[in-house]
Amino acid sequence: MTELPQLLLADGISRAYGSFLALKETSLELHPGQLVTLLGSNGSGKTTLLLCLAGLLRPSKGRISVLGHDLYRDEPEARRGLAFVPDVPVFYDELTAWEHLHFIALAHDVEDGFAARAEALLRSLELWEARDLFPQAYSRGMRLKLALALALIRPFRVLILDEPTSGLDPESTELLCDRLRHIADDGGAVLLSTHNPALTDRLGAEVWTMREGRLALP
Amino acid sequence: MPSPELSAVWLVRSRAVAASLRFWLLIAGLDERPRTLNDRLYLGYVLAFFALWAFALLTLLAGLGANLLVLLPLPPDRAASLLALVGLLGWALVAAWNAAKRSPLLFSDADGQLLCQTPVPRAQVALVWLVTGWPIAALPIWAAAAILGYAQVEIALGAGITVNDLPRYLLAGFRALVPVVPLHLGLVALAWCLGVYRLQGDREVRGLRLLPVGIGVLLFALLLGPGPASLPWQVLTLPLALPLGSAFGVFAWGTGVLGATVLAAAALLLLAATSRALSLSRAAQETRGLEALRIAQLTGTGEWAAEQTKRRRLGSGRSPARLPARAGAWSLVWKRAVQTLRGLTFTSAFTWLLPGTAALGLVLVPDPGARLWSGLMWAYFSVQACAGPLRQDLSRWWVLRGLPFAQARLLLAAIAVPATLVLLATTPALLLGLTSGDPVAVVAAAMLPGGAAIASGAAALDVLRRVRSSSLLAGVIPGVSSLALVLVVVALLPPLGLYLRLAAASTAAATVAAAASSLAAAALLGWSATHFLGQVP
Repeated sequence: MTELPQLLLADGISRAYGSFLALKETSLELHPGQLVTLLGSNGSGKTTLLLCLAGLLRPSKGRISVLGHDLYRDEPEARRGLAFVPDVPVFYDELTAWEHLHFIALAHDVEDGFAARAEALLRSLELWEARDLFPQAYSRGMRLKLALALALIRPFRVLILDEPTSGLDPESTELLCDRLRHIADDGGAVLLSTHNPALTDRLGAEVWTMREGRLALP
Repeated sequence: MPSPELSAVWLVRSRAVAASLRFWLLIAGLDERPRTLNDRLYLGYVLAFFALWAFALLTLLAGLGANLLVLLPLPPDRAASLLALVGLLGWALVAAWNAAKRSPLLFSDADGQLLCQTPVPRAQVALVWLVTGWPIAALPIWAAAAILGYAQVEIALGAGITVNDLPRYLLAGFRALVPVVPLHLGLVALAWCLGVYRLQGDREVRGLRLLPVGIGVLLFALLLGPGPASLPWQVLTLPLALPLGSAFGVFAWGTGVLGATVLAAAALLLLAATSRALSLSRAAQETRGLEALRIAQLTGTGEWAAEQTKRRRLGSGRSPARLPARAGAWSLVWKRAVQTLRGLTFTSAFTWLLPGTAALGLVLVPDPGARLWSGLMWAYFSVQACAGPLRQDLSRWWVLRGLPFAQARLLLAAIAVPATLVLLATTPALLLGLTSGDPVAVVAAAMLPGGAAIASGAAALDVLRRVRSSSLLAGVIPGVSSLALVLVVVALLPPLGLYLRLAAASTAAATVAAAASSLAAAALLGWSATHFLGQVP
């Protein structure tokens, strides 16, 4: 069987905070259709790994590429294929939820059919009625949903989510699971961290485990 | 013996007041409870120092007050009385407007969750909150009264004032202050009555804000029309005019003090009666977060306070912005434009106007030293103004890093708008200088586009050289340091040197060279800043 080309490649990355090595040397690949949950206790290095893969935290060593583009040397191209949803998203104070979506869509050249897509997305996430509110007026769960909407409004091949279900109600969690499965079915790759092993079963996802800064692949 | 409820209210409030007091004592390096003789001596020294400092400041301002009083076509005592009356009336009407708009009682989150949920007598809460909060608010009014009192003495004694006149001087301030203290307390209590009346139970009293507006319009019309000597004005303002007139020697002093005290007592009784049905829950909801904001402003965490103030001002939502939007990198400009327009306030506009005012000094003041100083001030204000948008973008690191743009574009979008605003703010001053044919204005105007870009680039470089991704993720963004100012000066030196070197041969060529080299210096700074943005560790 021919192995599918990798969408995301991390080659020997590690991250230190001063003398503390939060992420020990790690290499991994994500392939089309792959759906992975990252488990691990608090402080095991899950968030550090995800932030490094998302390009928000520069690895102390190693390199990361998305769709063959180096995340730092060929950043714009790499960014087009990568979306990230943080666990505590912070938004612009002056932009409403709708304007956030519009801005991200414009930035990714998704102008055609934006309004219809955005409406469908916001309705599915139950944010449509609150679209003209500033995100600071949202609850924690609504902010998470908006961050998810910002990721989904634009094209991508790799989606990384940091504890996306921690503030979500059961209906929204189910909706998220459906979305993630669809992304994988459509040839994308999803990597999400969670403290909830049941989520892995619901997603039918592959499990990776972090322990003391080291990633254990199956 | 005080009732248990009053004790509870007083305990809660006195702790909060003590915490504020402790802050000021700590600022002065004092222990809240002096224990040793040295502590007490130091406390005495600090009190004496600040009393003398305050007195010196008031006497300095009294000179200005005297100049103001002699401008009015009235004897000094009547002029002081009228000035105080108009000022205090204006202040009281604004206070009443504010009280009718939002609860005058500010509750901390803890007060809101604990005290406001208990059945403590509302009148006691209102009175305790008023009495403990009022002195701080009253300080500027007291100071103004003392200044007018001192100003009267300065006019009476003219240039012949000596240290022997100190008792008379002090007495004038004391005489002015005594009627003003109860009068101000009474006015604050009356303004609070309006706010408390609005917050009765779950009843919504609409249109209360119109009351101070109506009174203000009526009094303003009377003042401008028939004038302060007319009967309607005198009748309507008598409760204030009597104490204030007595403060400045128009009426008998004792009568004025008695009148002010009666007014204060009546206003406090009215407040106690009005606040019996005050809804503390509603007051707490309206003022939620404001106490924390006040403390943040007081203790210097201004950035957090400014962000909270902005969020309050913005409210919960808006209709979509109507600015034309385009895909690609133009989306960054669209975002910045929406942010700038929505974030525009008097204070933020002032930030952008400061470089312009400094540039006025650069082109209008003949002294070279003052010009140099103005130039430095321009650089300082510009750097401060330009750093804001970039820092704002960096604080949303996860959004910024997710955008499919090269570092240079991201940086350009963050600094282009502020650089343009600095340019626009500085242009009128330079145009003014150009009309007078000032050669400094000519070279400054030629270097302005480059100079504004240099200020932006220097601010960006200074911020970006110190950022760490781990702190950006926590929302901690470094501010502008003095290095940014140094960078601006260093970057402006070669164009200036080039101008001075070439000016002897050809002024036009020197000006063009200065303009071009300043743009080149800006490009170099921008390139370096881009490098730092791409290498954030």
